[in-house]
Amino acid sequence: MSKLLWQVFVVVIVLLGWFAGNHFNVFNRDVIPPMTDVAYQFIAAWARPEFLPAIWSTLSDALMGIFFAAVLAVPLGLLIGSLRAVEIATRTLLDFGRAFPVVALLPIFVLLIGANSAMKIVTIAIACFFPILLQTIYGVRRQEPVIVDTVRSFRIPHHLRFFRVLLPSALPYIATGIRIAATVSILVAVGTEVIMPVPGVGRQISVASINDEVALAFAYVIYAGFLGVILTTLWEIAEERMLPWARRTR
Amino acid sequence: MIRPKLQTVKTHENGDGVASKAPPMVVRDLSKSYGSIEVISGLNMHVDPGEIICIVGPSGVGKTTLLRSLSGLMPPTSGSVSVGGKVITQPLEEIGIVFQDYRGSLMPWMRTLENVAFPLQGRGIGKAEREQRAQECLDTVGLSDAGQKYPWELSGGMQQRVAIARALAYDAHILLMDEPFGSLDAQTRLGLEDLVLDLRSRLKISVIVVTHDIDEAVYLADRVVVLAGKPASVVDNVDVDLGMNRDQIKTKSDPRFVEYRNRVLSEIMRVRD
Repeated sequence: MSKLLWQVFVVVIVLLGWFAGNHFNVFNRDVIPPMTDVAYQFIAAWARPEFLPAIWSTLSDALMGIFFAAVLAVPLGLLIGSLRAVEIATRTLLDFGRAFPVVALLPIFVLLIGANSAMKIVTIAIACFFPILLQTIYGVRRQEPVIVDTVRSFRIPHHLRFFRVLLPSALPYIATGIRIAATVSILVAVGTEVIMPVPGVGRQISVASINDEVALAFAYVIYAGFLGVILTTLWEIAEERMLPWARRTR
Repeated sequence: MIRPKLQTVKTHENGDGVASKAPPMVVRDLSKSYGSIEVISGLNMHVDPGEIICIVGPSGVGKTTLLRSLSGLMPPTSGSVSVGGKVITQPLEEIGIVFQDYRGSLMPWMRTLENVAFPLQGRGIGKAEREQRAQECLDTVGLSDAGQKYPWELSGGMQQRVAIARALAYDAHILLMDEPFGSLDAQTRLGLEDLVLDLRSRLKISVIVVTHDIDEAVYLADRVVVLAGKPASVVDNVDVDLGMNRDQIKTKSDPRFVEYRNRVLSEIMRVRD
């Protein structure tokens, strides 16, 4: 409880600092709009017809992107993680893939797919693919020595070993990969929307800036941040429900 | 309860006239090296059907290495371990292992009953039968009501009981235990020692316990095998003639118990100096 209080306290301090910064004209109003203006737009945005569709577009495309990334990355990660030689051989390539800036590929995607939701989903899926893949591989590789001995001493056959030992013990790591992907997905979704003319929160940030509605743009940025937080929090709750043992054993 | 495996195993008689289903284990000239470091050299020992053997020795002497060789988890560098006349090259169905790290060896994603039943699934035994057998084995170790709990909801002693139940359910006639009670509190430990004695007399299994606790070794064992030296070998076999029925207080205050304990202790101390 006191932890939550401290977290709220820090948020209040930042908001007060923001308010004071504008009040005493420390901040340039054209760059950082007053906190109260942003707060007003934050609420007023709900009355705009484009608001909810934009939120939904970003959120649903992010979820689709995570979904496709997981569908590809989890089985591939299980495969790579189970085969030691493949894991070693692909290590450099995967490290490269993880560090690769997907957003740099946007112009190519636009040419190939067009400036639409499908293009956004592909970009998000590629960005989310690597954290999920790497976590899955890590989870499979990280077998407790005692579990390995136990499985061997009870002569557990391969298929059972895979589905009832390897997979469950990798699940917490896969879940972590998806949690990382949840954050990445919103970042990439909004980034894509800002750069490319595709619908979503990012698009609204662009439009508001072009129209010189800086406070509204800020309000949308905060909503984008909230989307990331909400997605991660929901996933954490789901994780706790689905893998109740994961937290207690580590 | 159907135990098809048992019909193929011959019944053996040990010295006390107890019919045991356990096949005899014979270790011949066993040596184990890691690289150029020889840990065990020319070790000979045997486990008769229905016997409780305790392997003691100073820490770092190679007890765990020996146990891993006995279980078939690790091939010896030379020499052999045979069970029922056959040299083992991999883990056997007749051998159940109870690891020191009970917390790590039970699968946290499985309920207790599933943990105990899981090895049977690998043998192609149907769900209903393996759950029934698992429940019987939980009953045997005094955990009838814990089947639907997760391992991490149980105390350390209870988790180790589950691990024992799992080895029993697997139909092990030889129970290999690696420092099984080392990380438990004293009271829990005494209870589990008595459980091992009880299991042996009820199920006629052979038990091999690796331990550094000399009191525990003498209390449990029909024979204490003292391991010492670098590389390690058997320096003494102490026959513990304290009968089948033992009691934590009476047996441990028996002058013969003290005598056995001092003999084992002096063996270990002598080699150390």
